[in-house]
Amino acid sequence: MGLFNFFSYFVTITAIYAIFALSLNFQYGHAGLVNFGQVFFFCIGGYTTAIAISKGLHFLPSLVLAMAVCGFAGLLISYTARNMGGTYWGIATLAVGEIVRLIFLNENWLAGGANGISLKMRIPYFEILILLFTAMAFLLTRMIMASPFGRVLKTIREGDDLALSLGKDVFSFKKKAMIVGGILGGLAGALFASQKKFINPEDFFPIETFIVWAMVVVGGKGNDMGTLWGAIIVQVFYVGSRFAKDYIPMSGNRLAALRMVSIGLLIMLTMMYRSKGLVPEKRKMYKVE
Amino acid sequence: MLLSVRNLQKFFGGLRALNGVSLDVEEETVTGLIGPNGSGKSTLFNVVSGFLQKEEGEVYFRDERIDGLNPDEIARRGLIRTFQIDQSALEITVLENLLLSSPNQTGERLWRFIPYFRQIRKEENENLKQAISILDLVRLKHLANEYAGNLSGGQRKLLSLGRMLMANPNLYLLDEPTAGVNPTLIKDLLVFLREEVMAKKGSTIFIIEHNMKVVSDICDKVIVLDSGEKIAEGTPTEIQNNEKVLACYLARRRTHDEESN
Repeated sequence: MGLFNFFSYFVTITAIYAIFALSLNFQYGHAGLVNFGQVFFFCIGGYTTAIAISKGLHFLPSLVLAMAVCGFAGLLISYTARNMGGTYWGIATLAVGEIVRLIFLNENWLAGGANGISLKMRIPYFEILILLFTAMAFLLTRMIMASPFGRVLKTIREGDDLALSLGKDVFSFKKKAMIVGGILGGLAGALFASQKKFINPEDFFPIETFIVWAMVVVGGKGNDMGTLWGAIIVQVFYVGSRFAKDYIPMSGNRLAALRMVSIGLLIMLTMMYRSKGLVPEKRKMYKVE
Repeated sequence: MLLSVRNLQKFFGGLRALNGVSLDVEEETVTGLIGPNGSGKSTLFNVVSGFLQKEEGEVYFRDERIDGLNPDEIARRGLIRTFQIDQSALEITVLENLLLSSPNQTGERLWRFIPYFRQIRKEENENLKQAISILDLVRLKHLANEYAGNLSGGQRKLLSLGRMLMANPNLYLLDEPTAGVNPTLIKDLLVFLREEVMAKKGSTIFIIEHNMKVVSDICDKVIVLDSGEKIAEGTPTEIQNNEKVLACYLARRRTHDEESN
């Protein structure tokens, strides 16, 4: 791989994961929904696009379809949050993510099972398109969080009671947070599949959820700018470890295994020394004369 | 009658927290709710505001039945409560806590934030002005941009009162609003509640209070609960001379003294 190709790969994969991390930050960082199954949206978004394209749909319509399907999936999952407290719900979402992966693994007719599915297409200006989508996702979450809707989300993050006592329909806000997070996660999955041009269930292990959690936590939960930084930093560790073999006398397999260790270490150090992340959430200041 | 409670029962396991309570709160009055610790005052507020479900009985607000509704539906009908243990949103600022409390905000509907952009901005500016004047009133203006989490206990009580004023309900349920607040400020605020909120806006106040001085200063009527039952009702003077009330407070104190001896 030439250096330019590698660089463009790094930028696009980081941008895709940035969208994915923004989707988790919207649910967890802003609305306090502890979702351990974020890979669910990534998986469904990726497979929806792959299947749609294999059926002859064009790239952009299949992207929209993936986002719509994931938004709807977010809505469905939000109903499980109605009667479940934070941590219990987190465990449930972890299970949902695995269930979807196992369905794609075992239902061969759906998308090739373990053999995976290819996306046969060429998309002009794909890299620029991805960066545009990332910018749009970032602006969208920023605008939503600056609105009164975002203010209620931030309140719900600390518990339901205050918002309920002021007449806010808390469940409806959680539903919408899950839908927006689902749409963004689906977009990330669809772009991931389009970039990789081949996906199989191995791309959607729970470890993917762990990686986006690392991005949100390291970058600064509740801060979209921090989430972008988190995505870049974690990707540098993740992709950069491929070069480490040139400098460290160790077998490639062992270095690949150390990859996760290094990300774990990164999370630990952040938690110990910058517990609010590298770019902590900022408060909204008003002029009071 | 603004609020009517009929034969309300609430059990926690074998504990009868409310055992057939009936009471009325008349429009444009201040009604006090007193009673020893554990007599069921906060439970009554929790059931009336929808945070707890009753076992038996009915609750009517503006002649409509509200028991069984969700707390947010009850709040939207104009009955808003504060909590004995502060529930402020600590990770947002004092000012944002107030802006949050304004009812019927266009910008709280997610799908409207682009098409109604101008209207939302206009509403926000109006709410901001109102919020700042309320902060001035509850003496928190200098802390407007501070995180609510950095306020002291007493300041948070003032903040919850500020949120109430911002929400502007028909019926205020105040659960010990004065605990931890400096006494002169309490007096000013209660006078404000009576003279401004009640007289000008026609709101009604239902207040749980331990401080008898406060109760006799601002309440038109006092209801006394003991062990989940209503034992007395009347003007503050009547209540202070009611033998049953004295007995229930004194009896508690006597057993307490005996225990500590």
